[in-house]
Amino acid sequence: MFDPEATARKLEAFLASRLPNASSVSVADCVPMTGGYSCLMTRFTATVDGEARQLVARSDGPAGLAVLDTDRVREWRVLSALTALGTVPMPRALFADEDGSELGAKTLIIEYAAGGSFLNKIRAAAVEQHPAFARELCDLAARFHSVDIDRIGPALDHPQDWNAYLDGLIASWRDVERQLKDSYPLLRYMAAWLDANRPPPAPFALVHGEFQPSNQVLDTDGALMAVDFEFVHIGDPREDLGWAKWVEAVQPPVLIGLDDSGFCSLYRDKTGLTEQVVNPLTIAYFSILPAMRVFSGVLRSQQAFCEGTNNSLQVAYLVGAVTTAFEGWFNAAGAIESAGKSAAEVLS
Amino acid sequence: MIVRPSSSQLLAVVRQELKSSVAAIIQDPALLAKLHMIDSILASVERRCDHEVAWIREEIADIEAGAEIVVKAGLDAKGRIALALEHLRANRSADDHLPNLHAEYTLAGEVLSCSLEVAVAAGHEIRSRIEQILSARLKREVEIRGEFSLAGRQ
Repeated sequence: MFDPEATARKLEAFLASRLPNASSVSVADCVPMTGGYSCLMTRFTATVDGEARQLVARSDGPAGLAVLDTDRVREWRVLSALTALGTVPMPRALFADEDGSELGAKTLIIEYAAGGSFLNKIRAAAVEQHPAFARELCDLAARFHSVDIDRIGPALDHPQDWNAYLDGLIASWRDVERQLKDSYPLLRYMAAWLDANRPPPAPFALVHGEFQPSNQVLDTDGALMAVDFEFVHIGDPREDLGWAKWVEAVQPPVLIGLDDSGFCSLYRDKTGLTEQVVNPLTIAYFSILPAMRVFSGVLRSQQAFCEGTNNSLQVAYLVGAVTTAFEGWFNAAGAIESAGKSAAEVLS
Repeated sequence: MIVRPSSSQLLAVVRQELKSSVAAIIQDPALLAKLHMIDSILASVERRCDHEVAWIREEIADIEAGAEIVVKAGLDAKGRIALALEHLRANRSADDHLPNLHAEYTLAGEVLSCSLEVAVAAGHEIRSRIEQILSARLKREVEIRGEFSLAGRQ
């Protein structure tokens, strides 16, 4: 059960230890934030030497209830590097309890974006405003993907060869299926299909990994930023566009799908990538390919549930999300092949 | 054993009560999201429980028939489909208790996986035939799932 007073006292002691030169540190207004599936999030007000700031504590959940078993230590190292870079559209990461000894669980402290969630803003707005939101999403993607990856340093792996990188992503579909006790023929089918239908390569970029409006927030000026960096990596920028395209199909409203060609055209204008590289078919391909980064964790949690080592309601509930994903990937593959054949017939 | 009301009927009445009595007094968005998840899970169990054994048996038979076609067409060059079929047939469930049947279904899944990998490369009619089995499996999963949208996302 969430105890706001106890949480405030722990955070107060933690912040005081990280700010030894501060004369006074107090924490109040601890409020749990809902909406995420992987971490526990608490918003709070920290007052340091009389100056109040809204912050967020992002913590591992209780053992045996995790939906996605991601690494908070890795996330902190990546967030620190990206915060230091200063060019990534994100709230700054400030502190971490890397082993959970001070706050009871591995925890990151990051700035709170006062403008609220992009998803809530979209849902509250009239449909006529959605094309403008699609342009904002496109702009955020382009800004994110334009970060100079050579300045990021060793916090992230830097792949060297695009074909080898794609081989690895495709292999992850087979590897995950082999590691699970239950059989998932669709994963092996998708691996074979992805291998047989490779798109042209794209330059590597900083990839968020879960690029979707529920992981995007607005600052006080209304500028869009990304949060939740559990899956950030250097990879193919179309992974983010494809993931966003997939998510909007299961978590409306639809933004990219309002005008796929227009979205791709705008993204090309902002990034300089060619139409051969960024078009609705390549984005559709990437709506499938990188999904195993997230779904491998979901499927492993479900296996743990079957074995009795995880008893999370969310994990049980997400069986429906897995079905939805399977359906979406299978249909997307069919649609890509049909569209590809039509395009080839027109060209011939 | 009292078999009626059926399991699906019992679940239906529980869902109805949760919606009409419990949901009406909950204000907390996090609890409402949990109730949404509970209803989604109960709904899928309601759709599945009366048919699960028959559906599994039917699909295993389809998978075996499809795999036989691929093998007879000479496409199983590495012998992986034949091996998976042999393993399936040597480890049939002796009864209809679900844990045993699930184990057999997992072995049949490996047969389907091997068949699909060969079929995607082979193309044409064989591919279409094996994809139909996967498509039917998906269709059933979607039927069990029902309507779905992520609960509690903000």
